[in-house]
Order: sequence, then C-alpha cells, then structure tokens
Amino acid sequence: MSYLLRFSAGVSPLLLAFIYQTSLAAEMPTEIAPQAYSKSEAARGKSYYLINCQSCHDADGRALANIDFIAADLTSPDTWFYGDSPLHIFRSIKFGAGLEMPPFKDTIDDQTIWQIVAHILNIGPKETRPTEE
Amino acid sequence: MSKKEDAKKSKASSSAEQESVVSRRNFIKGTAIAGAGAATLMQSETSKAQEQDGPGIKIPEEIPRTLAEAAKPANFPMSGAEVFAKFCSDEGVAGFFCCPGNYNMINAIAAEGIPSYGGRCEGNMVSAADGFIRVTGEIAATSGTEGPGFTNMIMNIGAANAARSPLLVIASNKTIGEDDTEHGIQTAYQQSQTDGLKKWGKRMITPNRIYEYSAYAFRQLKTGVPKPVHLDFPGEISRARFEEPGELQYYYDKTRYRTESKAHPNPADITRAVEMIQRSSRPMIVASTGVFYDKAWEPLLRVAEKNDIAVVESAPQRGHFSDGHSLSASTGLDAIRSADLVILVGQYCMPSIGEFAFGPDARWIRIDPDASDIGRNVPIDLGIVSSEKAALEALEDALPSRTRQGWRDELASARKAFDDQSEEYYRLGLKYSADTESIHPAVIGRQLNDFLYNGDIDRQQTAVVSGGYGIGRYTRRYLRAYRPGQICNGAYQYGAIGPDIGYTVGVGAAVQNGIGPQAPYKGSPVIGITGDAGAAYSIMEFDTLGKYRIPAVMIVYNNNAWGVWTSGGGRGATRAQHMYLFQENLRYEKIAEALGCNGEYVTSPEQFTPALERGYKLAATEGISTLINCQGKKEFWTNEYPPSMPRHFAPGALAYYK
Repeated sequence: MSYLLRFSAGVSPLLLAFIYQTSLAAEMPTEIAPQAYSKSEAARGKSYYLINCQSCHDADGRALANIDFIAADLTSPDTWFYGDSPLHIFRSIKFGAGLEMPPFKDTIDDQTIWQIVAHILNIGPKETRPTEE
Repeated sequence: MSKKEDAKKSKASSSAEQESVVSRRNFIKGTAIAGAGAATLMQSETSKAQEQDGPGIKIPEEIPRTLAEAAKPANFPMSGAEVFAKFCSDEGVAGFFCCPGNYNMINAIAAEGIPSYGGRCEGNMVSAADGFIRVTGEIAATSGTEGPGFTNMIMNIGAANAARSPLLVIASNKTIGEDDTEHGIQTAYQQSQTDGLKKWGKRMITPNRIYEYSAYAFRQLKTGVPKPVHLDFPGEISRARFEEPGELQYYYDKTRYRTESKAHPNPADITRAVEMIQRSSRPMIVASTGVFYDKAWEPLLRVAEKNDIAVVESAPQRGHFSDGHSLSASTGLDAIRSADLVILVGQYCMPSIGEFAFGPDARWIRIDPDASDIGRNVPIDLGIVSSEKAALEALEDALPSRTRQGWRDELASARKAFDDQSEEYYRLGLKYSADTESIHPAVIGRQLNDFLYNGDIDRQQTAVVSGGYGIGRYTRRYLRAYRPGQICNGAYQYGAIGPDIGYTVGVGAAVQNGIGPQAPYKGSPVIGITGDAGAAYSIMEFDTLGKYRIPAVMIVYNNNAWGVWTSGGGRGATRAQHMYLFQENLRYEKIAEALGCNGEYVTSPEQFTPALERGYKLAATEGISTLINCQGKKEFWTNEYPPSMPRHFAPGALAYYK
C-alpha cells in the first residue's frame, strides 16, 4: 500500500482510482441503482448525507468550511478527481477516495449509499439531477 | 566609591545572591511550601539538562518565599486596582493567570490571596485560566499588558468564548488622557478586538465607577450563558485613590448588585416534556456545558435512573455523567444514531443538524437558560427556558419510574461495539507501529486507558486535558470520565491548535489547589495530550509547570507535520507540500529537559507505558512534569493506514465531529 501512497501525492489520481477499483471490484455494483435518479430517494439521502458527509463537505456540499483538508466541492463535478458518474460517486463513498476520504462500506449499506448518491446528484448541475419520483 | 570597594560590594552581592538561590538538594530536603498559588514546590535532580556543565536550573528563593507570604487583603484607603482585586476575591475568583504588565492589578490580586500564576506568554495564560474554569466550574481571571500582551491573548479568548467559559479578561490599557497620541507606545483599542469573542466588555473611563462596572462584569459572568468578560483598565482607573466607600458609585454588597435566583421551567412545558419522554422508546439526554456550570450532575443522574433515559455528554468538560454508568451513551455511537428523542440540556455552543450523530427522525427538546438561542441550528419540538438544575429537578419530580430494559440492552451493545472497534484499531495500531518502527496513536490511546483506568490508580483520580488534532481523534476513543471535571475537552467547538499545554497548566493548578470537583484529588498528577504542531505554541510553559511544580505528564504526538498535511499532498497540489511539513524526528522532550522538567522519547509501543509510569511517578512524588515525545508517522492520517484519521470518534467528545 505504500506504493499507493507515493502515487497519491499528486502523481496520478486516475491511476490511483483504477487501482482501488481493480482491487475492490468484487464489492462494486456494476449497474446504477434506480434510487440514484429518484427525487424522493434524494430527499431521504439528504438526511444521511447530513449525518455522514457534512463534517467534511458541509451541509451544502461546497466544502467551504472544512478545516481539516481540501474536500471536494460536491456541487462542481468538473473539479472532482475520482469520476463523476453515479457509479463513481458510489465507489468513492463505499471505498474511499484519495488520501483523506474514508471508506463507508462498514457503516452505510448500499441502499443508503445510493440515496446519498441521489442527493449529491441533486445538488449538482441541473442536467444530472434526479427527475424520477 | 572606589573600584575596589565596588568590586568588593559586587562580590558580596553575588555571594548573597548565590545563597539566596534555593539549591536543588536543600530545597528537596527541607522545603515544602503551601502557598497561595502553588500547593507544594519541590526540587528534583532528574533533569538531564541540569547534569550538564554550567549553572544548574534553579527555582530562585523569591518564588517559594513570596508564594508563602500571607495574603494581605486591601481595605480603605484603596487604589482602583485594589478595589477591583478585592471585588474579585469577594466574588470567589478561584484562580488567576497572567504575564507581567498591568502591574498594580496583578499585584493587588495576588495580595488578596487568590491563587496566582505567572507564565511565559499571555495567550497560554488565558488558556490556563480557561482550563482551570473548565474543570472547576469556578471563575478564573487572566491578565495581560497593554497592546502587545493583550493581542497575544486573542486566539485563546476565542477558544474560551466558543467553550462558553466564564473567563474574566483584564488588561491594562495606557491612559485615557493620552488616547490617540501613541505616547509611551503600546496603545491599542481593546474592546473592538474582542467583538464576537465575549459576552460583555468595557473600557473603564470614570474612576469612581470601577466598583459599579465590576458588578456589571460579575452579573454577566454569573448569570445565564457564560462567556468571557473583558475589562480594560487605563492608568487613571487602576491608580485612582479612594479614601472611603462613599467615593465609589453603587457600592453595594453582592447580595444587592446581583441575584442568585435562576429561571425555573414552566410547569406546562414540563408536562409536555414528560409526555414526549413517555411516548419515546429510546430517549437520550445530551448533558452539556450548562449541566456542569449549574452543578446539576446529581439531578441529572436521578432523572436518568428514574426513567431509564440514556445520557451522552457533549461539552468542553466531561464527567458530569459517568462513562461507567449503564445508561451512558458517551461511548455508544450506534445508540446515539438510534435515539428517538433528544433532550439537549445546557448545550450552549449549538451544533447544526448533522454535526451530532443523531438520526434524522429524532425529536428534539432543548432546555436552556437563554430563550433567544432555543431553535437555532436545530429545529426543536419543545423549548424549555430554565436553569439546567431546576429543569432536571422538575423532570425528576414529574416523571414516573420506568424501566426500559430494551434500551439499556441496546446501550450496552453499542458501547461494546465501540469498544470492540477501539480494540480493532489498537490491533491495527500495533501492526502499523511494527511496520514503521514508530508508535501509532491508537496504541497511545489504548495504553493510556489501561494505565489510567485499569491499573493501580483510582480511575476517578486523574484529570486529563484531551487535546491534539489528529492524535485527539484516537485518544478520545480511549479516554473516560468517571466524575465531574475529569476531562478538559481541549479543542471543543473552536479547534484551536496550541492551547493544550496552557490548558494543562490551568487544569494542573486546579487539581494542585483542589478546587471544586478536583478537591478529592488535590495534588494528583494531571495528563495532557497534544500534537507536535500544538506543542510548539506553548511548550515554553514547561517553565511554568516547573516553576510552580504543577505535576503533569504531557503526551506529545510527533508526526513531523501539521495535522492537515494531506491538503498539500494531493488533489493536484503543486509546490505546496513543504508548507505543511516540519523537520522530522524533532526532540521536543529535550526542550522540557532544558526547562527544568523531565523528557521521554518513545519510538515503539513497548516504550510508551514505561515512560508514562516513570513520568507519572515523578510527578506524583516530586512534582516534576514530564513531556513524552511519541514519534509517529504523518502517513497514519491517510487511507494507507485505515482508519486513517477517524472522523466519527468518541461521540459527544467534540460535537462538531460527532
């Protein structure tokens, strides 16, 4: 794992993400769950987001107040390092990302992660927000 | 005078000075001074720095001598400074921490017999006073000089403000007559600099109103939700002369210028609260700051036990509900998530939704003496304006007895899950330590837990300053509080890096003097925890620990970097990492040695407990403090070493991190 750390110091986040993805593929879903596109699931996901994610990403997802490190602005997918599709978001939540974001696979079940994914999509650009009921 | 006579006089003077200096051996043989500010001063032969060639580190005889002098309370005729000092004494100010400056005032306060301490930096002395307050519940004062001393105090006042500490900040401030001239330098407008960091403040400008404004200050300190109160004293005030009481405005006894009466709850609100509690399956009280300052821990215990209500602490201090109680949820994160009714009692610094670990469907009752704060951040289902003690007593009277065995079982299960997770972290920590030839913070936390709570020491004995940044994320998991004021929660709601050694001075002074809940443990060593970044701000206070023989063991987690170093190491950062790092393997323990204290260097799990045992023993038997420099790795904060820096550590320890 020290190999990962050396690379994580700015060399290739995409490669790092690839390695993570490869090693953890067995636990990753291969398809996007319908909850990701559901407005009601997004509303539910907001509650879990506030409990689990707010301390780093802030209540509004912009991470302006984080004093620990530079967390991703969840409202601007074009600034993300580890992919912006629903599966990418799911992976980052479940398995962690970069140096700092911890994995939540032991504390949040997959269904709840999808609800959080829906909420994150819902605070992002209009064109990717959930539209289903 | 001839040169010969001059030289002769100089030699004699030098000799006299030599004699007046307390030698280490003489001091330890014959002197045990119980002074106003330091319970016992003793000397030791353990400092390695003192074994080197050159003059040894010594406590000059003036220190124990003047600490042992009898108090000399002021009486008319008095100066303004003496009027104020006497006022503080009458109001029971329990400790005073300063750096020189504001001379008339600090001398007058010391003369009153208030335990007084002088340190090396004004900011650290603010934190010492703050730490003292956090574990005693009593008012402490702090002083700095004019502009430079005062501006050194700002960060630490901010921390006290976030913690809602009843801290009395006093500072001298040149003269009114020379405002704006910059004559004599050091001029600064002080009150505007503490805007947003205090409850109330005043620059005194009318000498005969000093007593009146002192009453303003203590009304603010002793009523409602406390925060720092800041008074600045121009020379015309502190040096004014008053021949008799009639010269002072509003010169009344404290029974007339303020009241001890407190708000009691509306009975209708209590009835509604009882209904909500009875409908709840999993009620939980958040016992916060106000429970401690209102000394409401006994009614809290009775309410919890009468109706089987769980209790979690979230405050700048811990222990007003014992972690050893079967209804404690302070180490039961899963139970916190499960609570269906949250009763916030005295939660003065109010986190936002999500900053607590409570579930999204929980209902909320908030009990607070300040109606204007109820409903802020967390929408409430019921607000009760009351002193914490009065509300808990009313609930005790109104609630029926009830057993909630299922809830108790869930609490037990949650605590076990938390402990199991801590054990897993410990096992990982041992592995990581072995892999890296260093010591992982989980190992420090777990071994500290064993030493403090599972060994020969009464588990209620040792007060701990739970500080640090990354290290705190781990040690808080393993620290426990079994009686009020046992833990000073350093970074509470302000996250300041740097005050921890200052807090340790203050907590140590509180225990040294046996103030408030510390009385049964008077003279016991205290433990402090901080990081290498934090230590650098205040490490010179090891001179203060040494000078007053405050017995402390300070654990410094040394990972060669700011805790936030990953911000400079990833996410596309370029040419940035160097700003986040220190030189590696710095020897902080040698600084403690150079300041007359003891140093230990720990680079493996096997070395930590023996170093802790030596340090604690030295503190207990000789009053000598120890700095344990624990060499870690900055990479422990990354996902390479899961759980890296835990975000969800001990619930309630630091509310904004859950």
